[in-house]
Amino acid sequence: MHINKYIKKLFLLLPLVFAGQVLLANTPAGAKPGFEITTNLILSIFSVVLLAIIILLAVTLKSAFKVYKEKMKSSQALKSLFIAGLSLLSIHALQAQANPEDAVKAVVYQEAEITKYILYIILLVEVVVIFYMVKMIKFFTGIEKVETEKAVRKPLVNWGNIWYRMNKFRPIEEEADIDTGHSYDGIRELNNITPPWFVAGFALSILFGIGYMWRYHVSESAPLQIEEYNREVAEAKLKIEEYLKTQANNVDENTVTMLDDAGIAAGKALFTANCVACHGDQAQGAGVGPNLTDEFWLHGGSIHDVFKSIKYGWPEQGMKAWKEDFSPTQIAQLASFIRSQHGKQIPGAKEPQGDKYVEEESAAAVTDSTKTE
Amino acid sequence: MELQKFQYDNKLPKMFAVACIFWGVIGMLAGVLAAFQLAFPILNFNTEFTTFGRVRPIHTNAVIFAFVGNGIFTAVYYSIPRLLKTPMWSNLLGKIHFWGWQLIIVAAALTLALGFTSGKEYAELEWPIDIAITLIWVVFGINMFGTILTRRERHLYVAIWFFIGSWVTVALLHIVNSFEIPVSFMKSYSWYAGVQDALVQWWYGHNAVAFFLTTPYLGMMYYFLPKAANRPIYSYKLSIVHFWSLIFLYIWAGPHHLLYTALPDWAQSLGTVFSIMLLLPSWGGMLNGLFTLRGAWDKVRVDPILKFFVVAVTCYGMSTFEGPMMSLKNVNAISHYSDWTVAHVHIGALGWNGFMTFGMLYWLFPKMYNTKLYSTKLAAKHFWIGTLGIVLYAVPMYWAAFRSYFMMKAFTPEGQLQYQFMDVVQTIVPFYILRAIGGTLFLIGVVMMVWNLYKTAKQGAFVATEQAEAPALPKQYEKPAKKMHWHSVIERRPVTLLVLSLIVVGIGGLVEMVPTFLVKTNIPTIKSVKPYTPLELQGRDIYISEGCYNCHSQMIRPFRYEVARYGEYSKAGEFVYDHPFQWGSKRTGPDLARIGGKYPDSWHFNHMLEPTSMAPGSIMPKYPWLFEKEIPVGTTNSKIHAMRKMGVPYADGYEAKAVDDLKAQAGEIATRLKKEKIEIDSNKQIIALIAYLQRVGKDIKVSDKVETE
Repeated sequence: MHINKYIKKLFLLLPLVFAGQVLLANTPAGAKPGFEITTNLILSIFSVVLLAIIILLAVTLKSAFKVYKEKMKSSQALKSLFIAGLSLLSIHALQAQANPEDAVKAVVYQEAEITKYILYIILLVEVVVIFYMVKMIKFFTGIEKVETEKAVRKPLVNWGNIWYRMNKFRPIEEEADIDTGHSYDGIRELNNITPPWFVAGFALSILFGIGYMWRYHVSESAPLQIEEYNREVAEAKLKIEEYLKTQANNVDENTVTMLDDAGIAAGKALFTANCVACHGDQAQGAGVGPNLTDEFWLHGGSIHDVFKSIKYGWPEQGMKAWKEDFSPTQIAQLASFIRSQHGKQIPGAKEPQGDKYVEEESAAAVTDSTKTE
Repeated sequence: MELQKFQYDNKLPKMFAVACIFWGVIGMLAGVLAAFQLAFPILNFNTEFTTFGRVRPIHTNAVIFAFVGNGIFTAVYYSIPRLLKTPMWSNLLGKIHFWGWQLIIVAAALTLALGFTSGKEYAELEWPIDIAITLIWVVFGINMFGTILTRRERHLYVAIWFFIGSWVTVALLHIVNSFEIPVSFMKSYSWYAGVQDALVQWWYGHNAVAFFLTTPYLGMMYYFLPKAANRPIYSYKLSIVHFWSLIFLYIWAGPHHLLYTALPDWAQSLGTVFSIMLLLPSWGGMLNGLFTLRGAWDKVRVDPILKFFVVAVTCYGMSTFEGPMMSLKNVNAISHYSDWTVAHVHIGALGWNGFMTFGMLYWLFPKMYNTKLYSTKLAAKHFWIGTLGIVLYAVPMYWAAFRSYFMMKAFTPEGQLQYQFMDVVQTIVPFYILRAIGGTLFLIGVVMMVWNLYKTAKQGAFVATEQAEAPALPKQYEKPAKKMHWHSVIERRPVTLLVLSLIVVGIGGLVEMVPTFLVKTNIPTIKSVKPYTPLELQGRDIYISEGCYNCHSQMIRPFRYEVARYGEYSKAGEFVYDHPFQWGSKRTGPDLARIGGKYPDSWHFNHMLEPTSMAPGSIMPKYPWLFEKEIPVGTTNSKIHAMRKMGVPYADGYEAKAVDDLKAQAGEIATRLKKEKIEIDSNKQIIALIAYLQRVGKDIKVSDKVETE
């Protein structure tokens, strides 16, 4: 009997969980400074809590099953337990998969909404599993049986009945009336009508087809793919411009200046993640990319030149344009980092390529405006 | 009327069934290997025969043509004689059919592993095998039609309509798509180029799914499901409606594989609307199958055979719902090139084809061996592990598809792509592992089945022939007193049924193909697009031979995030010399339509030798043999000649110069590499491949540049 109490307690827990979720949906994500609580974090904690509940329930279920087995000694139950165990397992798998993701997510998905939805799904699945397990426990302990015997309620909507009518099913007993009389190797065929919803659906899909062709190719009121693309690009352009107006991000090759140490550090991180394959781990040059620490430059060595080389690339020589990958600020960080590496003597560095570049501290701005051409 | 005695042969159905199981295991094994290769590139084993680019075609071909193909023939050779009360027309043709088909499969597996491929998905086999397939298919057709024409049953049952419709359409598809011009014993070029080749290929590819994986299996369902459930078919009328609407509509839907590509908009739209219209006719089969089980659902609970059938039919319903949805442009924008498509086809292949086949085999073996199934319990276990396998296969793939979509299209507020392609690859790899586990589970289930069927055969005695008797068909048809459905007229005229099917399936193909081939405005020409140089052409053939198209597309769709990532979107006019087209269907790696000039030669050199050296985290296999093997210079002349025959404007007599040009260009590349301190002979295959890669998509880059400056 103590199992009963167990279940009741768990039931008390459930609304708490839900309340928590509702609350959390209303709290703005990660608001407090210094102590970062993101929605995802809360959701993750909840999913872990729910998992704990599931494990607890599993233990209960196991003992409930023992009780049941003694009572019934039926093989049917074993199968049910197998299914229950299976769903439990799959939840474990989901969870195990979700957790390492959390770590990655923190980096990759900082902004992405998707994680939140994934977590919601995990939570939902967990709640469903909890309900399912509670039901199983009730079934094994015999509570379910009593209840169903007590209450013979009529369901609000009789789906079976609606489905029956939708298909215009005829009772199986009347089958003989609609037998076509065909018998192929003993296979008989009935003369049931095609389900009315099938016919209606088919007609609708044809109407859809006509409407679709009409919209795209006769009235031309819907955009074809190239128009759609042009619109997309135009909209994005507007949005970016709007955004940049509010940002101090608007540097380009003419206005770029050497950044401070923080900027250089950020540039170093970017360099390590993106550039070392061609330019070597210390910018000393490698198979493809030239040495960036010596005085010789293929395309000019000022911060403006370097910025430009990164931004537009020199595709014929193997340097790709990075403007689609990095923001202007990021390019400035990179350029600053590269300039900061100047003069480092790195053993095994690549031989000089290009022209010797002499620093023109004072006249830089003037000469560069002509140089960029 | 006098009863005639005759025999049903069980030997051929048994042979086909055994072949089906054997190739099924092999094909799925290849699939599991391919799945693990995507997560662990080391499993490519650094040999050319075992790289993903060759294993995947082996997997797809083995599963489609060997596993499902032999499954179809098992069903046909078992059911048709019984439905028509006559033995198969010719035992000899049956044997030729069987051994011919198995030989084709062996040849296919060997040649694909050796890199002989036409580079068109699910039609990779080279021209001698294409001819062999045609011949064996005709043998099959003659045998089937001979049986139908010597029948003792006036009317044809719906299963046979499906077999006939499938046979004639597959013949049509195979012949039209295999138009190719041989350049050597195992090398040919597709007769069509670029956009047209893409249209023909996906008209074929989609309808291979339709008329090889679907309609014959509906025939199978119509025989084995009512047999196993011992219930009458729910609705004869529904059979008629969904048979004709299905075969008519299916053929139109091919262009939905080419949405947002350079295919003309009107053809794309046809693909979309016909796919939507296809939904209910497809469901007709599912409904008729499931409703047939009315009154037998209690049996479903205990009989694993019926369980297999129910899940198979449900999977069929799921994937035929999903298919039309994926044909909507906005959904296709997400699903195309992604793992979603892979999940979708595997719901169909594992669920529908796999489970239908398993159900049939579990039903057939006890019958043929006059015994009971060795272990019903084991079959039930197979059912559960198989189902779990499907779920574990599909769910991670859906998940992966959505994740990669959201990552691919993410821009920073400044307007830069938020994620590099490699970031996406890295995120997807764990899902590849899960998927591979799902596939492995499914395969384990199959192994359980093999054991079960083997034990069943062991405990029983094979019934080689079954005696039967029936009256001969009177020469003159006498109308029965009872009024017959109008459709019965067609059912007693098999040739009419055959011709009508051909006409019905012919319409869609003609309406889509003829304008695309004849109307110039559909493929606006671009002046700057020039034929490939001899070296590039050789490089392209290496690209095809290594199966690069299995992971890399060459078709940039007009989306902001694709243009930002890969370059200017692809134009129809760029592909006019591409025999065959190489647009691909899945992006495990990035699109290569504008790879030309993006990296230096040395980058490609290093990347092909050791992909992770240039792209850390890459899951691409290594291609060391390209640095050993030599360019087959001797084939250059015949290749140029074949191309000119198909309208590629090489000057007359260019053959004489071609080899010199090839060597000169190869020398240039070797010199350029030397500057980067890379020593390689200019006659190695890698040189040709670099030449090709550096050319792809460059012809219109001129105008692209104008825009950026």
